[in-house]
Amino acid sequence: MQCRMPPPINDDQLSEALDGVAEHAVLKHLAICPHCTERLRAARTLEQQLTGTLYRWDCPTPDLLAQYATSELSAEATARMTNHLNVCVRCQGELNDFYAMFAAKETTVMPTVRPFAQAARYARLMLGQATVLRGAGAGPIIAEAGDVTIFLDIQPRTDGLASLQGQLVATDQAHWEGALVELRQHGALVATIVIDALGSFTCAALPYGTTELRVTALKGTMIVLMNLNIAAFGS
Amino acid sequence: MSSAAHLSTEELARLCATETAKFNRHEPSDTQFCFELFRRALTDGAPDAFTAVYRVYERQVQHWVVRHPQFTFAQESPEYFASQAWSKFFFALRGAKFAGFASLPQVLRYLRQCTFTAVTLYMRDQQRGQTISLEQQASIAQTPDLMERVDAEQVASRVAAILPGEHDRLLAHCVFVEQLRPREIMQAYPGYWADERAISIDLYRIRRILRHDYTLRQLLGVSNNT
Repeated sequence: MQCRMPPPINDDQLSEALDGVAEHAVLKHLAICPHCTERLRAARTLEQQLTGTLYRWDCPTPDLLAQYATSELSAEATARMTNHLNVCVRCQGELNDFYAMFAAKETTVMPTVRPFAQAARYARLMLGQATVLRGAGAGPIIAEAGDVTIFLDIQPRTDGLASLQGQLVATDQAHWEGALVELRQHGALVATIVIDALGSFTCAALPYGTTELRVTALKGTMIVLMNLNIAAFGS
Repeated sequence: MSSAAHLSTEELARLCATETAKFNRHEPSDTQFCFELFRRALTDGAPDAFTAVYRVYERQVQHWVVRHPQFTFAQESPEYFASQAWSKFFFALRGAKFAGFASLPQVLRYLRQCTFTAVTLYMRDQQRGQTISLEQQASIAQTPDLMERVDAEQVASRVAAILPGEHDRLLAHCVFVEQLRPREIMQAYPGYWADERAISIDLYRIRRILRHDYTLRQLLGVSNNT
């Protein structure tokens, strides 16, 4: 393939087009020349791959930054960290965040709840799909969120409580090992469980009522299963 | 062994909540009950003890979340970050690992660090998400961290090898690794460039060099020459 309107646009013009500051003539050229449009596409892919691959690749984890700030690192690790901080504006900023967060004296204060927080969380943390409940009745409850399926078996106990046996199955099962399960009723925490290597979790005694089940993986992914009616499914 | 060790988890939870309330009122308080509750939750893996400490410190952790300077820019609720902090905390200290902690303040300091980590990691991901395509995000999500790092190390070495000077390598780091804007680069490195325009000119030259390097394109899996 050759340029339809020689001379082909040059490298700096390609960069201008990628930055969205290209002149009209360059945009006109790109509109009618498949060869130069292809070059632009390749240049864009290369820069996206470059930034995607290199983004903070050599930065320490926030845990290490915290250990540095609290002088918990070895002398060697401290020296490495100091060298990195000398050339990394982002890590310097995070370290300042740490100091600001820890500068406050210990007191318990009710946090301000944002009006948009709930919607933002649920909209984005369902892994892009609505959670689906099916199988209400005698069988287990099956909830799906993206590539994750949660099976819940709720059995009534003789003392007016219910027991819950859960199983999380995912394409990347290891991602969910150690994930924290929180069970809440009317916003109050009623039980916490940690998912084992096989994806199982059990709550021996759960009061009846509308329950929210939240699973938080160590890497931050969260699945929320709302309005789980323990009485309806358990009885 | 402290007297707390003989108490039931229920009684410990009650005393831990009482002593925490005293602490919050700046009155003298006894830390042994909360510490024993944490020990049972983490060393013994007792879920009822973990639920109890979670309840006692739930608001405190959320308070730490909102104190993180970047929380203002996050689109998530305090509960979201608090859940992550608890999850990291439990995973890091469960079993024998808790033995390294001798006092309640130490444990709480670590819990606070986990809160910092949860918000900071989220902000890093958000920043990264702004600069890469959806296809890349999917591929990164499926790539184990170690491989990702090896790739990045090779790419960074190649970039360093083909850029002629120290200034260029610094600018490439600012732009491709830290994703700083010219204005931020000027602030971070005063005197290195005359103005933002000078940064742009240098950057165009760097992009030209990178774009035409066959090895770099191979490493990044981009075959077409530009």
